[in-house]
Amino acid sequence: MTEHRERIRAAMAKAEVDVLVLGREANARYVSGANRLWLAGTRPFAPSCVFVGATGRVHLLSVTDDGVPADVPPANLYPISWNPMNLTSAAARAAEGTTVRRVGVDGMSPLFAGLLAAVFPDAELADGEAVLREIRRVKTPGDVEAIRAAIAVAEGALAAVVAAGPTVGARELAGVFEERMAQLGTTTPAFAPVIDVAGDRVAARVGVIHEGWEGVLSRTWPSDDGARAASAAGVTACRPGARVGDVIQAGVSVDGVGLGHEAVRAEDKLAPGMVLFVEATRDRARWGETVLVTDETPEILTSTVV
Amino acid sequence: MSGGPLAFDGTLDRARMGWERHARLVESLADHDIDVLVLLGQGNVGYASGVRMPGADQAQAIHRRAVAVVTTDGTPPTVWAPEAATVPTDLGLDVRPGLNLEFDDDAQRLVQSLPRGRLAVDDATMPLWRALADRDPQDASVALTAAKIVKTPDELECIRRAQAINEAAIADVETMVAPGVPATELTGLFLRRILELGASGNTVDPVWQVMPHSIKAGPYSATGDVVFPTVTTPRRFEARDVVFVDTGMHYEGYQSDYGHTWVVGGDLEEYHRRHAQQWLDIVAAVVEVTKPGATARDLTRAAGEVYGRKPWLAHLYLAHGTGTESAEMPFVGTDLGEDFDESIVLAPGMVLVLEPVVWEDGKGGFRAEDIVTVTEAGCERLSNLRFGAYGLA
Repeated sequence: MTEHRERIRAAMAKAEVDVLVLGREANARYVSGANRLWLAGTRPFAPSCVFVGATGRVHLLSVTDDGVPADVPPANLYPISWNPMNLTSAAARAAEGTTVRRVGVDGMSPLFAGLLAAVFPDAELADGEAVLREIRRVKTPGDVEAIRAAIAVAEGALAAVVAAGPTVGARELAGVFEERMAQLGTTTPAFAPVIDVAGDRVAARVGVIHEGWEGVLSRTWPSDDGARAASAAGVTACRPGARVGDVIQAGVSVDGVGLGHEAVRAEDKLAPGMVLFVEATRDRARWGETVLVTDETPEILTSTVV
Repeated sequence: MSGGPLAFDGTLDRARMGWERHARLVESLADHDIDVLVLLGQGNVGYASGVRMPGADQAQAIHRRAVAVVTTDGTPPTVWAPEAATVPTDLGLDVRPGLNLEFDDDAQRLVQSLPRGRLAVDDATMPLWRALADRDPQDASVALTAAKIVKTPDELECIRRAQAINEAAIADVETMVAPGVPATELTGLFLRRILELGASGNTVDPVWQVMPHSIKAGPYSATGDVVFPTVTTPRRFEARDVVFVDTGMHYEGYQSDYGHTWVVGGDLEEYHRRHAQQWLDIVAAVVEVTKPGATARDLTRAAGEVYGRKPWLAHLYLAHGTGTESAEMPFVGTDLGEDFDESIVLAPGMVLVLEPVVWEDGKGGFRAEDIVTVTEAGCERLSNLRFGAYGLA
């Protein structure tokens, strides 16, 4: 986490953001390393993690230190509250003694805009999500190891789907994937498995969230109708300096991979350390690899053979 | 342990549910002087339009979300949907391609499409927040709550079905609870069974928390109260572990909420049964006063005190509503205080998840969740908790 926080502090200084007040779980996890209860879907902005640039202090919404790294001491934990003022007060306490002119947030609502203005009267709001997106995009070696571990779970669970065979329906195969994933010790899928059974052919995109990190891949078996070759062309295009749009030109879709799904756009330039999910679909077949952009040849992190 | 999706007795008319929800929402917007409602929260989008994106981790759900715009001019909602297949065809929706509101261009495209008038929003990304600066956006939560807090008969049927699927999956999971079994194995069976039984998706990482005998013996508590919930790990159960169970999934966007307490190995002490009986007594007392016109304060009063404490967790509540969100209004017994509870008046069609906690520090405790809906005469159950393991009815 130390490396993450140093990177964030540098980016905050550059963006002239004094405090980050974060609601999104992936951002909170990047900053704090905490493993909090996983919930599916969107939820409205509320301050659940505060990072102060001047002090490097992390304050976190949590009733317990269970799952919270030791460098976030119990005194920096604040419990859930149904009174939103308690949450903005907790943010203000975290920043006590520092000058706050710009508060970076990863979402906003009229309610919290008013309450944050009350506790940081001299501050304006800035796009904290944009700051974190840029930092999170380029992985540290530790991040890449975490993604490899997540992929190992996803591939282990996919093996159970392959073994189950096409005589079982898509819904049942999704169940097989999630059951095996949990048996391997990871209880949270990255998304509902996308599985299509057509005759004796199965196409599956599967993903897990393992200790916060996403492991994702797709496969079609027994025949893939050229999806695999198309995916390989996209993977080859993942060179530093290329744009995401150049990879898409190869006939694939491209998503960012990190603490869950990450957004990339066609104009984004690839750099070493970025991790991308490159997937080709042909008819009802799909093939997708998770790829690490390096200085040279891209490294494919997924390896399932079907 | 198979046999396909669960069958249901009750009737569900999805189109009617969609029309009735939209009508309720439009009426509430008019009451709150709102002309244009912009919705990003996927529970709210589903409520307003029937559009539900497939379940996903928050990070993916944020980037691939449907957006709904509701107006009071008599036209159906506009939805910006990343997947056309998620859009119901019988509601006359104005369907447009998906937007990624993480970026300024899409945020501006959305805002430029909005009609004039007083505007409210449930949540915003920073690009959307900036793009709305000239529109003086109002908070949508009060108007949304006013519509959503009372359920239509079809919504109640969805909750009933969600709960029935959840309970059926749990009945299978419970048979595998034994010393030496890792908690994550329970999760695996649960996730598989809810899919097989017809759930639309899982909502929360299932909790199978082994409870300490005392607060002090447990993990650090920022409130001084019992710590719950904690995240499930592959830790293996031991005989006589007291396990607080909490799971939730959804059916057509409507949430289940299953809570119970298990004693691993089934070798019950007198106090295990006593705690369960006390929990049943608290629920019976609360149910007794749950009827139209009662306030949330009446419910907390009926719950009383057990072992010198209010019988629920200080950082949570005695009860919460449920619907398209797993915990929504009405909230009962939160840290918003007694005046807030006094202001919550029950009405037919409201739903309450009653989740008292009996805690005898030094011995541990009991927690379960029972779901009721308020009726004209009182209330009726949407859940069907079993207490056979405790030798209780």
